[in-house]
Amino acid sequence: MLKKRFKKIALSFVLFVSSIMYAHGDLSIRIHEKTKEISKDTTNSKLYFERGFLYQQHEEFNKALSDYLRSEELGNTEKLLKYRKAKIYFTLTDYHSALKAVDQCIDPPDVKPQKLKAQILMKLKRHSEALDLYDLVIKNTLDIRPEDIVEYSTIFLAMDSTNYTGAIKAIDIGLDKLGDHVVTLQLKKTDYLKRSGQVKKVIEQYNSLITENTRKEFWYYKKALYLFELNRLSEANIALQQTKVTIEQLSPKLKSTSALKELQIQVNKLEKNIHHEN
Amino acid sequence: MKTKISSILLLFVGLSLQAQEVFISNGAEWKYLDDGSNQGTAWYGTEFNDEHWNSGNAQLGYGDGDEVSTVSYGPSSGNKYPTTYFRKSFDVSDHTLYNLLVLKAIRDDGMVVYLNGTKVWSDNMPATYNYLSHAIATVSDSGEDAWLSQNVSNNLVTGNNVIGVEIHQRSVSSSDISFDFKLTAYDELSTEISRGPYLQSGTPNSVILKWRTNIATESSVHYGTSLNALNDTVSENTPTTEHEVLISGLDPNTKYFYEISNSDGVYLAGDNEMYVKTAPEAGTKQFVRAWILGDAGTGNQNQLNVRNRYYNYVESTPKAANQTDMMLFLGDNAYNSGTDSEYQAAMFDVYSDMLKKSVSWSTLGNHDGYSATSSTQSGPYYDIFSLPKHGEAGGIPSGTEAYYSFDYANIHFIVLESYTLHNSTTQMDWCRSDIQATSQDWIVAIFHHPPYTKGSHNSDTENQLRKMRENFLPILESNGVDLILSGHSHSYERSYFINGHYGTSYSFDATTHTVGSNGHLSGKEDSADGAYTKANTDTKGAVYITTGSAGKISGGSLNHKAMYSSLNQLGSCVLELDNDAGTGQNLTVKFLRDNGSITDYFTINKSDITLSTDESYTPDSEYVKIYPNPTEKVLNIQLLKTDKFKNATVFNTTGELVKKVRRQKIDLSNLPTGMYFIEINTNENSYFKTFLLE
Repeated sequence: MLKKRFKKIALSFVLFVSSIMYAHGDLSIRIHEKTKEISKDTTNSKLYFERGFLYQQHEEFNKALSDYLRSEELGNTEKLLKYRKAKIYFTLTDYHSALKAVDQCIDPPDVKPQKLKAQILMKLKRHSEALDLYDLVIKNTLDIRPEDIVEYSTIFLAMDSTNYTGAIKAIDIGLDKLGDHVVTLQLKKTDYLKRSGQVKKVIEQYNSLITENTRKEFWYYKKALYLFELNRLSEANIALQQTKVTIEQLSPKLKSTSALKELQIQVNKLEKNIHHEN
Repeated sequence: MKTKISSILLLFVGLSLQAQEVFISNGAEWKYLDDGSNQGTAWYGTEFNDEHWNSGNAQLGYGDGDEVSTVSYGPSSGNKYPTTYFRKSFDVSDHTLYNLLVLKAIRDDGMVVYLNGTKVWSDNMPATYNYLSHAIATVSDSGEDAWLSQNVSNNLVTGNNVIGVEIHQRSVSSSDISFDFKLTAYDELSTEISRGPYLQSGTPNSVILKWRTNIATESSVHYGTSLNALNDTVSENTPTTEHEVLISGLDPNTKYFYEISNSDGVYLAGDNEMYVKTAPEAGTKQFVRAWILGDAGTGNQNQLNVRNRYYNYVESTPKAANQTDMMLFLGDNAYNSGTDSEYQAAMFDVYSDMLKKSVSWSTLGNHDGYSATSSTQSGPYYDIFSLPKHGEAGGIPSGTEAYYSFDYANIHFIVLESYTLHNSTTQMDWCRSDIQATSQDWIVAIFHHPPYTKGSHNSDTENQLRKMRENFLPILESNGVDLILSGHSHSYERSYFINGHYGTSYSFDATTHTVGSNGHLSGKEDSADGAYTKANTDTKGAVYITTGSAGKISGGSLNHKAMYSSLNQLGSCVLELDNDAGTGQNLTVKFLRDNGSITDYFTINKSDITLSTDESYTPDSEYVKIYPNPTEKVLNIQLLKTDKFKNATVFNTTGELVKKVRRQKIDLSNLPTGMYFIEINTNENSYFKTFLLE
C-alpha cells in the first residue's frame, strides 16, 4: 500500500516537474534548441539576443536579462535590444536601469519606447516628465487604446491627487479620439466625477448610459446606489424601482444568470436600506 | 452577360495596348559567389567581370531540400557565410518601350537588389549593412516560399543590363537560404488583384470589402442581388493599393454578388462564388454555421489538408450545403511573426475561395503580435483586419479593434485580446458591460490563450492563460456564456460542461465543476449521454475548446482534468446552430480532422428560445393594470383589488418627473414618444410599471 502511494507521489512529482519544465511547450523546446546553437557558437551576439527574447516570453526574466547583457558585450547595439532590456528591468522593478536602457532606444517617431519611458518615469515619481512624454505618445500613436488613455489620465492624479480636472480632460481626449460611446472611458470619467464630487455630472453620466443601452438594469442600480450614498432617497427609490421593473422585463434566461441573481440580492438590500433611512 | 462580355473585351483591348516583357523569369540561370568574401560595391555594377563566378538555376540556396542549385555556406555549419551574391545580365533592345518594372523575389532571409548599379529594393535588412550583416528577422514556414513584389520605375538601359542581389543569412547558424527572382517590364501595368477580395465586419445592413492591387487605383465595387444586375455602386476615387470599401444600406439575410472595377473598367468580374450574404437581424432564430480555425498559419500541406476537409464537408453536408456564415480565426494566423508576406502566404493564398464569400473575424495571437510596429502600436494584423470598435456590428463600443463584439442571428460573439491585455481592467470592464448589454440567446467568447490546456502550453503555469482564466471566466460565466474558443496549444482539447473552475488542472473536481446531470459525460446528442442542456431556470454551464491544430500539431501531455476529449490531431472546428424538434435550439461543435473524420463533437441544447426584452412588456399584477400598452395618447389605470387610488407620477427613462396626476385616466399627448415609468400610489401601496408611448 505504502509502495503504491509512494509510486503515485513520485509519478505526480515527475509529472509536475515536467509540466513546469515544458510549461511553455513550444517555447521551452525553442530555448533548448537555441541553447544548443549557442554552444556551437559562443560568441554570437544574435543568438544570445534571440534566446533572451525566448526567455522573456517564457517569463524567465533574469535569464533573459543575462542573455541581453551578454549580447551587448558581444557587440550587439540594436535599439530593439535596449528596448527589451528596458522592459525586463521595468518588470523586475529596477526602474533606474530601465530608464538608462530606454534612453538608448528613444527614436521618434517610435512611440513604444516613449511610452515605456513614461511608465518608468511614473514609477520614479518624475510625473511631470512622464506627462510630457505621454502627451507625445497620445498625439502620435495611430492606434491609441482605451488602456492608454486611462493610464495617461492617472498621471495627472499621480502629480496631484486632487487634479480630477486634468484626469477628466485626459479621458475627454480619449473620447474624442476613440468615440463618445466607448463605455470604459465613460466609466472612468464617471469615477473621476464621483471622486471630485461633481454630482450633477455623475447623474448625467448614468443617464447617458441608461439611455444608450437597451439593457438598463445594471446602470439603474448603479445610479440608485449613488443617489442613496448622497442621501437623495426619493430619487434613489425611483432609480431602484426602475431597476426592478427592467429586471422584471428580462427574459427568464437572463434573469437566471448568477450576475442577475446577485443584482437582485443587491437591489433587495438597497431597498431595505432606503426604507430604513426613510 | 452584357457586363461579362464588355469586361472580356476591355481586358483584351487592355492587353493589346500593353508592351510587356519578362526579362528574368523564375528558375532562370544566375551567376553566384558563395565564398563569404567582401565584394564591396563594384560587384553589382554593369562593368563587373563575373566570369569566375559559379552558375546555377534558381531556386538557389541551401538547407530546404527544394533548391535547384545548392550554394555553399562555407566550411562550418555553425559559422555560415552571412552574404551570398547573385548576378544576372540581360539585354534590352529598347528601354523606352517601358515605364515601370515589376520585381518579384523569393528571399530567405534578407535581400538587397541593385539594377544597373543602383539599389532599387531592400527587404528584411537593416538600414546600414555590409557583407557581415545579418537579416533583421528569420524567414520561416510560409515565408520561405513566398513571392514578394516590388514595383520600380524603369531603370533599364538599351543594351546590357545587370541585376545584382545579395542574400543575407539571419544568423551564422541559421539552417537555410533561398533565392529566386523575376523581372517583368511594362509600358503600362494593368490592374491586378494581389490580395483578396475578403469580407470584414459584416452586419445585417453592411459589410466592408477589402482587397489589394498591384498598382494604385480607384476603389469601385458594383453589387446587386443578381449576378446579371450589379446595379449599385460604391466608389472611392483616391488611388490606393490597399482598398477598403464600406457597402451599406443592404437588406438583412440577403445575398449580394459583386465585382470590382476602376476608371478603366472591371478588373475582377463577378461570379457565383463571390458574394456577401448579410447577417440576419439580431435575434433571428435560424441555422448558422461557423468555421473555426486555430493557429492555422503554417502555409504548409497540413493547413491545406485541414482546409480541404472542411471544403469537402461543407459541400457534401445534407444540411445547408455550401453555407459558411463566417470564419473565426483564433489567432496565430500567420507564422512566424504575422508579417504581411506571411499573412499573404498563410491566409490569403490558402483561404481565398472562402474569404471572398464569408466574413472573417479574428482574435490576436502571440505570433500575430510579434510584428506590431512601434509607430502605430498596430502592425499587419490590424492593417489586415477591419474589426468593429464602435459597436457597429452589435455589442457596445470598445474603442479598439483589440477587443470587440458582434451579433450574428441570435448569437453574441465576444472577442478578447489575451496576448497583452490579459490583466487589463479596462478590457474586463468592457467585457462585463458588453455581456451585460446583450439579450442574445447564445453567447460565444473567443480569445487566443486558452484558460484550460495541457497541450503545447500549460494553463496551470503560463501567466497569460492563468490570467484569462482568473480575470475573465468569472465575468463570462456569471453572465451565461455558452462556449469559449481558444487556440495557442496545437492540438484539440474540449472540456466537459463546466462552471466555476478557476484553479489548476489538479483542482478540477467533476462533481462540483460539471453542470447538470450529464455535464460530466460526452454531450453527444445521439448517444445515451445526451446533449448538454441549459434551461431558462439555470444558465450555468459552458464548453471550453482549445483548438489550435489547423496548421500543425505539437503534442503535450493532453491530460487536463477538465477535458472530455484531448487529441493530438490536425483539424478545424465547425459550429452549427439549428432548431431542435421543439421550441429550442441545438448548438453543435464538431472537430473535423485532416482526414475527413469527425473525432469529437458535442451539443448544447437550449429549450424555449424566444426573442428577449420586449420593452413594452409589463407583467400582469394582481393589484394594478395599465392599458392600453403601448399607447398613443391615453393611459388608463385600473385597480384590481381593494386599493383606493391616490395619485400617479410619470417618469421618463432617466427618472425625471414629467407628469403628476390625480386621475386614473392620463392624457399623454404632450409627451414625446418613448418608454416611461409610472408610479401608482394607492392607500395601500405604491406600484411601478412601464409603458411605451408611441
